[in-house]
Amino acid sequence: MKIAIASGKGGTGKTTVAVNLAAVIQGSCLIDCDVEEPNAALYLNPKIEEINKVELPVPRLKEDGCSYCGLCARLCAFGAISVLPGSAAGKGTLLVFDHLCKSCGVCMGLCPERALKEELRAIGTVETGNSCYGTFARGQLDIGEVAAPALIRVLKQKAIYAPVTIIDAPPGTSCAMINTINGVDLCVLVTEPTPFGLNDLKLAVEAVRKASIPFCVVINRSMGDDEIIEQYCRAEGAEIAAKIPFNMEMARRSSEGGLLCATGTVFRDYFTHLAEKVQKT
Amino acid sequence: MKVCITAQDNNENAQVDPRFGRCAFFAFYDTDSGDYQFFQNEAAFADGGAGTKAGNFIAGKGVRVLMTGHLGPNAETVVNAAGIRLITVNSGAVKDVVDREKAGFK
Repeated sequence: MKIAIASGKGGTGKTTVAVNLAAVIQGSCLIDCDVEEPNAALYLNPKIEEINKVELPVPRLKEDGCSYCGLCARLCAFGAISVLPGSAAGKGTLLVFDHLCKSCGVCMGLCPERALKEELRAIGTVETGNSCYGTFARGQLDIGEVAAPALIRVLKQKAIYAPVTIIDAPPGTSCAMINTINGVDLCVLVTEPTPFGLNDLKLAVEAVRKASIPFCVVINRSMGDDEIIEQYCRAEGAEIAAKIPFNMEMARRSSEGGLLCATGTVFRDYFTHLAEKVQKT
Repeated sequence: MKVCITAQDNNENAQVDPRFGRCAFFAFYDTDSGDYQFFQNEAAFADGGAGTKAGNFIAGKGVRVLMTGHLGPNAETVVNAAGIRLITVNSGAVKDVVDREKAGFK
């Protein structure tokens, strides 16, 4: 069973929920798909056993052959190529914008002169290993890179799955989040009882429904009155699977890199109950 | 010679659009005939690469001078590589900014 811990809004507690769930489920797998800022390892302290470089193919001009016809630039849906025709004074120019390239291969495949070749460009790493709770995998996008979805797809292929796999998703509802939740059995949407929390929860619910993935809601930093979220969940028929209170001791534990489920029975219960619930779904 | 002015609408009284890649229209002014031509910017609503797409478009049309407000880094690379001269204008009607800068087009 694959469970993604997602949210529209950043900072609602996705990683807190993900690492604590992974820790209370014996022999689980945790995949940290928040590749722009993976931090689950701070809590689970895994031993990384393998590091793989992730590379994407981008087009490069061969030494000769290009007629500067500009077909590749017109075909590129992402605006990643510019071709400036030559003049009597000299050869043309072909520019490739690596960060805009999605490695679809159209330019290389359809070049009438076969003048483009593939070059591999590193965008980040995928690391796999073990923590004392189970298997662990994370992706790390290199600084300045933008191809999070591509890295996430490789990460999900390389991870060593367990009977229960918890996937920590990146915030938002853009391509990185969609690539993370693609193929999971359940999404746990972590929110907070604030207008921002509600606004972004609505976006997340819309996204998971479009992807036809069952979901439930976790209200984090509950201060007793969570009507703002509860009202929405009632209207939408969404299950609230857990409420985690706003608690100074929990905040302190978390900011020290500690697992809440290892702090005491009261805190542990939030996650064991949630683990039972999500595994039944 | 062809001059491109980024515009908010498709006539010479339209205001200059200070954005390049996502401007609404490209106004092309021909310095020989004094005529204007207008093209909708198809890159305006692109998911990404609007700057390079817009740069490819004006370079392909043989523009020599570009009047706009702001160029992103990718668009700037294309415009520079194409040898297009840049005149920064942020506001005003298309025909007014053309009249004002005309002397410098040559």
